[in-house]
Amino acid sequence: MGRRGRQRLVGPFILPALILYTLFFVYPALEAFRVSLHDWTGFGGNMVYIGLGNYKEMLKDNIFWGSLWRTLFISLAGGIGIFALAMFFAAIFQRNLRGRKFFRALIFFPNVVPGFGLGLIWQFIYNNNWGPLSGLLQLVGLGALDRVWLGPEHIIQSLTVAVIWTYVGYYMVILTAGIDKIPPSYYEAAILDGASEWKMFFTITLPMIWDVLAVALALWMVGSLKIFDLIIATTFPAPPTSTYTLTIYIWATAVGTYTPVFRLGYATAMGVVLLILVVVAVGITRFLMRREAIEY
Amino acid sequence: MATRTTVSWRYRLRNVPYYAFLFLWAAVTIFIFLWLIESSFKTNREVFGSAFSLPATPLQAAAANYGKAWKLAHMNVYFTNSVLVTAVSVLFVVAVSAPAAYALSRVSFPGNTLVTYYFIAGMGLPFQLILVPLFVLLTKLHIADSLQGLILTYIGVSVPFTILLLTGFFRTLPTELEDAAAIDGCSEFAIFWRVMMPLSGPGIITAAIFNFVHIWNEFLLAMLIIRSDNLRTLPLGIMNIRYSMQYTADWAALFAAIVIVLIPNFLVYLALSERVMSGLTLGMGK
Repeated sequence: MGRRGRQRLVGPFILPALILYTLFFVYPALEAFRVSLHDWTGFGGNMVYIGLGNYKEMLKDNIFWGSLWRTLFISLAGGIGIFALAMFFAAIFQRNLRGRKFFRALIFFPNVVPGFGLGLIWQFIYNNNWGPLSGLLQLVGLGALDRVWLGPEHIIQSLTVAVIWTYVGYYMVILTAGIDKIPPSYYEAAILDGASEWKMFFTITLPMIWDVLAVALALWMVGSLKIFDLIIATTFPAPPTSTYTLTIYIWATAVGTYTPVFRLGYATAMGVVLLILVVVAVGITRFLMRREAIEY
Repeated sequence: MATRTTVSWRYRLRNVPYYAFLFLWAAVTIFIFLWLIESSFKTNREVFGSAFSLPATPLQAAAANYGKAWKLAHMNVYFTNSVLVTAVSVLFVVAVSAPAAYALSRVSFPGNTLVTYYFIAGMGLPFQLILVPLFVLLTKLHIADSLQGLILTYIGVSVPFTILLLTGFFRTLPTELEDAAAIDGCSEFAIFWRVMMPLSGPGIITAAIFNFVHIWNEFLLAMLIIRSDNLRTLPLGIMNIRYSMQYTADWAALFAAIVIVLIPNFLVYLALSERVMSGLTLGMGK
């Protein structure tokens, strides 16, 4: 601290990152707000100012509301599944199980695989004619449970299962790291007092990892609203509108899944809505987690 | 002594359901990937037959599938593009982020907190928001549909996460060495380059691995920016195969293509899984 000449470093050290980040990320993001106020039918055509027209159109757009609903479903139902499982895995890894490292690495593995590849695998798994899921159900005589997994009625549940399987490892690793930092003496003292495992989980583990859990939840809310590769690959190349999430609808409106649509202003306005959703979701998560922490 | 054995025996017995669940989860995951690999050793007729039959002519079928994916579907070209884009992007994003993170985490200057927040705010920005303006920008700069455009975009969007991760890491390093070097008359740049960088190996490598995984797998921005077939990266390559399958229905070659994309990830992960996982929490610790 206070060494002379130190502050002269700051400019040259920060500027390259600042310029690249601002030009290729922040500038387009800010420009998006302006574009969202226009009607624009193609990169060659002219932008026509329509004020809040795009946002008003969204209110009456059934595909938008359907996409929004599916996005929130994956976020909430997927989130409950992921955090219940991640917490469970993290808690049982406390028990010095054999092969702990192997299981941890395996559960995390889908997170380092291209989402588009995973989505195609799931597309095949859920295929009714030759996929292994339907095949397995027939094989064990549960053919009655077979469903049109990727049809409009069931796709949202099918996608949520794929999402949980893919991302649970990520949050498990974060929660495990939090649990590993709890001093073992806390548990030793509790065991001497005769506390049950459930009691220890709720009175030691949970309060001690509360901050980590809050960050993990916020990360999930941001991440889940933005999931794209996995979902579009599962329904590629022609996702019906009844299976859209917000990210898919934005993509389809901006450039089209395989026939160009080019409603650039409308797509960007939905991008703005997605950003607002992210900010609100993080705000709500932090608010809920903070209140609980004070209560404790 | 006797009671102790009973307790540990009981304790172990209570682990049985946990093991059962872990084995079930592991079995499903392993099954999915093994089955993917097995399918790439099948002919299309077998793929569309029973889901659980074994391939009759695995070697011939694999040669045909992988050959088709590699040559006919241009995976060889996509692979080269992916390697190039990922290597250059990772190199540059770490090269610009490390000094910035160093200055932000270890030098106090007016506006430090503000600039840090400015960088980290980017983590909340969805790519869907920037699609249209980014494409307009790249077109104006004459780098739309080019690997340069894709690389510059990847650097820009990867800066927030990399800076978050590295500032978290730099904060954990001791200040004594810096102070000692300064007293010895080291220039501030020399302190960064000769003293701090050698200490930062683990943080820099973790940042590089993370960016490798993200950029190697990235799909949305690549799909937006790249139009020409000879510039496609691997995720776009498998998209293209799936797309053309509307006419060919060649699932076997698609599986082979997916396996090709997975191999580098799997090898990197096999060698570095602990580091990848520990890196997750690096940016979060205060």
